[in-house]
Amino acid sequence: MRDERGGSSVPALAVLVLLGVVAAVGILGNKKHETVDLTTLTASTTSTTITTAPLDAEPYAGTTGLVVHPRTEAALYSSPDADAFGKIGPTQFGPTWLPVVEQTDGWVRVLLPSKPNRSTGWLQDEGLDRATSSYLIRVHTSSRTLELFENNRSLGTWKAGVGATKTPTPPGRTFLLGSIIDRKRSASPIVLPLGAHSPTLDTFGGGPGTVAIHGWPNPHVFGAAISAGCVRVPKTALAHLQKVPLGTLVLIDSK
Amino acid sequence: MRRQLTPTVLTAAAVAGVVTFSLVASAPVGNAAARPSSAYAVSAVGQVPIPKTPYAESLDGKRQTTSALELPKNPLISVRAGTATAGNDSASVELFDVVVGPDILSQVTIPPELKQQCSALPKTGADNLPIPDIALPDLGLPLPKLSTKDLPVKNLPDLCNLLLNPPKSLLGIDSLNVWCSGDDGGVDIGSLTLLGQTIKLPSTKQGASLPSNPLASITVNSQGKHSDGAFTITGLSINLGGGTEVINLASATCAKPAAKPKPKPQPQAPHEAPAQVNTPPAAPVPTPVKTHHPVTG
Repeated sequence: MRDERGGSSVPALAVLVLLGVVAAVGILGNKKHETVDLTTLTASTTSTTITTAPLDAEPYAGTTGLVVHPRTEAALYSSPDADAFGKIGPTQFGPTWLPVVEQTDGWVRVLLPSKPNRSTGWLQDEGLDRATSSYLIRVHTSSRTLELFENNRSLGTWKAGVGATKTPTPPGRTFLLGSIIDRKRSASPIVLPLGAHSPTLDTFGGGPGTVAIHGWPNPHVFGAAISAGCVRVPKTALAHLQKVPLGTLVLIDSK
Repeated sequence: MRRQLTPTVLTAAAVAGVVTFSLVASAPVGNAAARPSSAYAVSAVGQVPIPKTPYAESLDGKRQTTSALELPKNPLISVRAGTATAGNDSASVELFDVVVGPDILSQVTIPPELKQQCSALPKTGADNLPIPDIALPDLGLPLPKLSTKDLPVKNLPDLCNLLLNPPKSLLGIDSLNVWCSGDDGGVDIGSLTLLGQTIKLPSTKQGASLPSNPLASITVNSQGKHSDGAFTITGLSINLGGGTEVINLASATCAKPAAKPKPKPQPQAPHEAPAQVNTPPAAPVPTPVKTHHPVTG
């Protein structure tokens, strides 16, 4: 009787063990990134620096207008199937929307809000909301103008105050990171932080040197190279820019 | 009796010419090839040919307009301005200050005997005096040999007045507008003078003609439908010398633009599922967040 019971249980155990090994190999081999421990990774925000992030290879190119929003905290990779170097959360000032600059099967490459300027990272497609921004903001630091386009049609060109020689507005492509009302700035509380930072000021006013688009009470600054890196625009421009979706590309050049 | 026969024959010939031309102008043209909408202000065929000037044509239905302030150099006709427009099954022409046969009678040397008759005219009672049959010199125009009998005057005082105070033109029109849209069209003519005399047009309805005279037969508003479906309307057709010179003023042709070739459907492999294209929705307008974050200012 014992022999009969022992004889029947051994093969069953062997089958279970085999199934377990197959399952473990499948999980580890095919879904390697699901095992990434997000708690050990630095979150990409306007206040952080991630020096291992790959830099934007085409800093003056346009995009398709595709923007993505991570529904939950997600790992950032230096290339598809490579190691994770950081993470991005679902909110920054408001919801996180990032412009897609490159795509491949199951992956998108996005611009990041962290330092250094022109940081990018790859995100897995799963867990992302996708949307399209039909807008484009162009800032020209020589002519000191800001242009707003919708579906390639100009909505307006305004004189803008840009960074002074020692505190320039950083050239390259970045994006609208947030839309905030900052009551501590009583004269011009509407601030649109970008995904870029001052290249010469590590900190500014207690912050990380985030470059933003905002208004200014004195209109004489519009058309001057006068700021610490921010782009100062007239009220009419700001009213238009407040309607532009987060993640929209901002192309800053020296024209 | 013999005196009355010549004008009658000439008149009959002129009427025949007008009728013939009207029929030719109105008859459908046997042209199977599709023609575009087009318009022109002036054209002439005969001894003094004038190409269609200005000429507008629309092959694709888009509106095309051309204007001209002068015609190719010729002794027959002048205009102050002409504009031709052609579009999608529509066309129109505007023409101003047309002069046909400028200074035609100022070239006539009045024979001494006629001059004498004119100077001897009594102030009253001369209305019944007959018109002398005196040959007119060659006027340099495509007209048959004319005599004073062929001039549109009723009596000797009228003839004397015409020759002693010659008009500036054989025919003058101050404005002429023609339009067509599909198979419909119309003509608007301003003041018209023949040898200095203002002529009241009987009508501008289709095929109306001016009272016949041997100098010129004039058809107003000739219309014709072509075999390809196009429609042509011509404001004035002036026939000089029984067909030796035919002038068309303000002509518009309406035709539908050529149909664009339909794109050929791409061959599809059987049982192949159509490609799924997921266009992401429009990104949302951001809601401003009340917070404090120092930026570079």
